Order: sequence, then structure tokens, then C-alpha cells
Amino acid sequence: MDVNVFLIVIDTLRRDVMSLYGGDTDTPFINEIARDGVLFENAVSSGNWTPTSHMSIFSGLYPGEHGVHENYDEGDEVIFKKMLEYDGHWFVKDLYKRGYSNIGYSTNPWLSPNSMFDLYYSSFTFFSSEYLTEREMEAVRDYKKYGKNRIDATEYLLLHGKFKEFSHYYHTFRWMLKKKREYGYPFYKASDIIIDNILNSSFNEPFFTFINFMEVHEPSSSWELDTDDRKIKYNDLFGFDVIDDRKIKDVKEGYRKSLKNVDYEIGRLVNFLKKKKMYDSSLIIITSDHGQAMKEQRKIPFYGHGNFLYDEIIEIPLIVKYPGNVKIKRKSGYQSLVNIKKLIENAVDGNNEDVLTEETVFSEMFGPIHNLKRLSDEGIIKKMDNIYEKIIEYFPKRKAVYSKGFKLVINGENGEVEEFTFHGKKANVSEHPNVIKNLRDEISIFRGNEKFVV
Amino acid sequence: MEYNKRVEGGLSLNAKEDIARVVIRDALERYKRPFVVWSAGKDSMVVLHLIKSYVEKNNMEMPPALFIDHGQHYDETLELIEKISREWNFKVIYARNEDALNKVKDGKIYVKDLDEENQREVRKIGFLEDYFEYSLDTDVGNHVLKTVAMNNAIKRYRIDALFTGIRWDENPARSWEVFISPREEPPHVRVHPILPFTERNVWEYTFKYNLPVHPLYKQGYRSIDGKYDSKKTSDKPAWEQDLEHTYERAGRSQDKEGMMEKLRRFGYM
Repeated sequence: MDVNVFLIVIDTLRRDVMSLYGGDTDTPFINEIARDGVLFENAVSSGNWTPTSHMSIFSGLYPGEHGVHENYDEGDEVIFKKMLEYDGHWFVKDLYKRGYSNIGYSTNPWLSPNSMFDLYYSSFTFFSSEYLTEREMEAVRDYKKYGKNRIDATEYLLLHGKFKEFSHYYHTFRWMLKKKREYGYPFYKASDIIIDNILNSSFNEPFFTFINFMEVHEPSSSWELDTDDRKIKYNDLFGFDVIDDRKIKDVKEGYRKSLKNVDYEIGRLVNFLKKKKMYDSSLIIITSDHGQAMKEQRKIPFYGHGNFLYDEIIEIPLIVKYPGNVKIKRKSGYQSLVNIKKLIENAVDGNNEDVLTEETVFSEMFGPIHNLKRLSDEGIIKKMDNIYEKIIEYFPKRKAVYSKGFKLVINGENGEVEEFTFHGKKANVSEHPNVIKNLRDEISIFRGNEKFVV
Repeated sequence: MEYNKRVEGGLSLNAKEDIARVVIRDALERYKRPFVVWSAGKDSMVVLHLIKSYVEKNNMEMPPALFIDHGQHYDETLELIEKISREWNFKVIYARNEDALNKVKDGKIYVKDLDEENQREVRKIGFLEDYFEYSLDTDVGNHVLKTVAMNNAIKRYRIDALFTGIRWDENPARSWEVFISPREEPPHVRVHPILPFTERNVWEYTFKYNLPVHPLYKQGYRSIDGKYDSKKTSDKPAWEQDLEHTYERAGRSQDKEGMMEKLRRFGYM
């Protein structure tokens, strides 16, 4: 019998908040799936933000292999272009060829028809995480033609006596704000609409359903609303406008609240599948593309994701409910997002062994995820003259390797050890010369012919 | 065993070296994680040296070497591997089928003792008996101890291009090989820079560039692999034998040579 597949990515979910992984946020509905399935405890994301990680999930390749990744001075448009140009392995294509009907739901702009992420889906729906309709999103885009940001645009309209336009946009934006707050934004980001849609759909079996939920992605608190998130992050990181503890506390509360909301929506989905008698026979994968740093005690404390390979950014949850609710035997080691493709391919072939776990896994980054030069030139972050030096200092190429309890992060600009831990606790470099040598060798083989000092 | 060797006899050694360099450049430019299969034998030594010269000239890193350790190597081989990799400063990955090597009992490997993956591999090539000899002479032994070890390393290290030293004139199953040849299981390409080299060319190259020579060649072996499946073809050094009119791999198990076609279908070089 053909296996139906659900791949649910809870964008930006770090695993340590979940009670399943010893955290303080209980997710009763996800727990139920975990009870029928297998909880993988050592999953590591291959990249540290949406495009790199999702490309890994769907291609089975690490960012350095599929090539869709940030660089020191590239903006979003370059990454979009790389996504459009990518023409390699893609399991959605293989499922399509096998006769699967592929259905996609996303609230993440990187995963939308704009990046041709809808290719090989019979239906792919992108919803605005802010509950905006197509018309309203058009109004937002429209308004930008009067100025590069909202303040500039408003200034332009008022100075040029365009009061009628100003009044129109003012009322539209006020309505949008009111509406999204009523819908629960920022703790709800349209996961409810996605599930409503699924509950009202009919299914052509076999099918593959991909969902990206954005609930736990920032903004997670009211103080972040209406400010550019890049401004918040980088001004904090460079010490220009520091996010205080009270604000971080709000973020943490909001993050947990948002997770509860996603969990509830997943519960609605499970309930529906059970009623339709599709639950037991399906493969259900719940994971994340990366975590979220919340200014943990690090050499460079940071709020957000991308830019670093901290545990809280790359250690993610991974729960797999196999068809027939079989409990497969887990191997010891780590799970990488690059093996999700293999998991799905194997499961549709009726093979349910542990293909996720490997002895050694990697995570990599190639620079900051935003074009800081441009942000600085445009005044979104405070202007810095030595921006390139800062980029190399704060966001060098990095690679992390996990093996036998150890994690090593190397700065690829100077080959220095940035982080060395054993089961999450700081380990002493000089006490483990052989481990360091072996892990350095692993990274050196992994980098291949990329210019990366190790 | 008689067959018509495919011999590229018209081109000079210089021209064949140039061809090899073009193949090497193309592969190193296009693939991210190249490895070189290296046995310390004469052919892979030439490939390794060609690559070494190329990367040194272009200020690139030397790709790691993959040494297939089937547990039956001559001590001289292991010493040479160790010595050259240290002197030339590159990494060697030892590809071993640990599970199979751990399960050897009185020179035999029982299929039921093997792990699931190895059992699958044994059945894949059509072997249905309960056990096989711990030997490289048979298709099953060769497959499990060499090909499976190599394929596992390809997966483990995510190798996308694997250089090997096979040549057209060695065996009919290798005589129609192309320079860069894609493989499916696991997905990667095989890169064959010295296909047009004859056995004579290999020795010419070896002495031209003063490459290290495995001591067994001097004793009369023409093709070296496992301790038990390589035999001398003469008492004269390999390069002094009648390379053109006798069969290079005559000292290797003829059963296996005849099975080359089948072994290659499952991923052998």
C-alpha cells in the first residue's frame, strides 16, 4: 500500500524548550505523535536559517553541496536567484514521478512561488503569516513606492500634499493591525488557516503534504512589532541598542505561547487524520529548520537565528511516526536534516529502518544572513565604516561537527576553535588533543575543496 | 585467459599525461569532495602523483586518499601507504568493512553472522550459500571486503568524485570505460585519468618521475592486492617482463578476473 507522508516543519523551533526533550513547554498533541512514533534526540540542522536548511531537507545535500547559502556580501535577492537556479536532487520531484500528489502549505516567504518552491506540487498555498489578504499585501508593496520605509513614505505623502492617499493607507494599515491582533498575531501566524484548509480538502492518495508553520519565528512579543527585526538584532549585537532582559523575558514567554498554538493546530490535524483513518498508515515527520538564540551566555550574545552555530540555533527536534506506528530501532549518533530525503524515499518503498542517524554530522554557515553593508548604508542598522572587518570578525564562515558526544566549531577564516563541548558542556581543548585532531580531520574532509582554513 | 587488449598505442606518454591532466582539472573544478583510491600499487601511484603535481601547481589542497583495507594486505603495502602519505602530506582514509572482518571464523565468513546491511549486499550479488571463504578470490569475498567497504566510505564521507587508476588494457570489462563515469549507488562519479596508459606507460611514468615503487614489483609481481590472491608471474622485475604479449593480471585469481564484469556492475573499480 502506498504511504502518505506529512512533513511538518515548525520553523525556528529549538528543541530544548519542548517537554519531550526536557524543556518546560508541554506539547500534548506532539507528544501523542511521539508516543506512536520515534523521538530522535540528537538532530542537528545543516544550516542556520530557512533557505539553507530547507534546501538540505528537500535535496538531501548540505548547504556547501546544494550551493544555496549566504555569503559575506549577498542580499536576499541573490539567495532567491540561487534557489530559482537550483536544479539538483529534489525528492518532491521523485514523488511526483511516482504518482504522488504533492500538497504544500507555507507561511514563510522563502518557501513560496517566489522562489519556485511550489515546483512539482499539485497545489502549493502561501499564506501571509500576518493574516494579510492578497489585496492588503499589495497595499503594503504599493506604499513602498513612496519611500524606502514606512516613515519615508509617510513623509513623502504629507510633504507632497497627497492627503487622500495618506488617509487611504492610514485606514488600511490600521485595519490590518487590528485584524491581525484579533487573530492572535504574533502568537498565531496563520497555522490555524493552514489547518482549516486541510480540514476542508479532499485527498488524492498517495499524497505528500509539506507544511511550514511560522508561529515560533520572531516576532514573539509585542515590543518587536512594527520595528524592522534586522534593526533590533544587529543594533543589539553591535551594542548600539541593547535588548534588555525584560524584553528577552517577553520573547521567551511569547515563544512558548506560540509553540502551544502550533501544538494545538497539529492536534487538530491528527484528530482529522484519525477520523479519516489516515493516521496509522501515514509517515509523519515533525522537525524544524533551525532553532532560535535568545541571548544565551555566549561570547557574542545574540537574539535570532542565522549568523552563528550555537546549540540553540542548530539543535532541533525530530519526531517520526512511521507507517503502521512501527517503533524502529534507533542507531546511536546524530540525525541530520540531509537524511530526511532518504527517510521519505525509504518509507514510500516500505522500508522503515533508521536511515536518519549517522555517527558524524555537520552544520555550516558562510557569513551573515543579511547584507550588512546594505543595511548599514540604508540606515537600518547604525552606520559602520569598517563593516567588512566586522563581518569577518562576527560572522566568519563556520563549520560545526558533532561526533561521539563532542561538538567542535571552527572559524574558517583563521582555523581557530570557536567552540568545543562534550554533551553540551564546555570541554578543554588541551585535554583532548586526539579528539580535536579527529574532529578537525572530519571538517577538513567535509569542506572538500572549499576555501576554509582548518 | 585470452582477449584482445584495448591498447592506445599511437599516443606518446607525454600526450597521455596531458590527457590525464585535463581529466584531473575537469574533475577537480567540478566536484566538491574528490578522493583518490590508492593501493600503493603502480597505477594508483601514477594517478596520485599526477594529482599531486596538479594541485601543487594550482595551490590547491591535495584530496584525501581512500585505501581499501580488506585485511589481507602485505606488510610492505601498509608500510608504503604510511610512508608516502607522511612524506607527501595528505590524509589517508582506511575503508574497512569492520563488520565482515570481525566475523571471520577459521577463514570463513558465515552470512548469518553478518549485520543486516552486509547480508543484503551478499544476497544482492546472488550469493545464496551459508558461508564464504575469507578471500578476495571469489565474487562474494571481493564484493563484501572491497566494494562494500568502498561504497560505505563514499557514503560516509559524501565523496562526489572518486579517482581510480584503471586502464583500458587491463581487462575487457575495463576496456570501454570513459574518463568521467557517473554511478548511481551511491551517487558519485568515477574519474579515470590514466585509461589510455598501457602497462608499459605506467612503468615509464614511474621511472620518469622517480616514483616510489612497491618492493614486490621488483620480485616479479605485476599486479598486487591481497596476500593470498596475488602471485608472481616471473622472477624478473615487473617492468622487465614481456608486458606486451602476456597478461598483466595473470597472477591474480582468474575466477575473479572473469567475474570483473559482474563485480563492476555492483560498484567495483
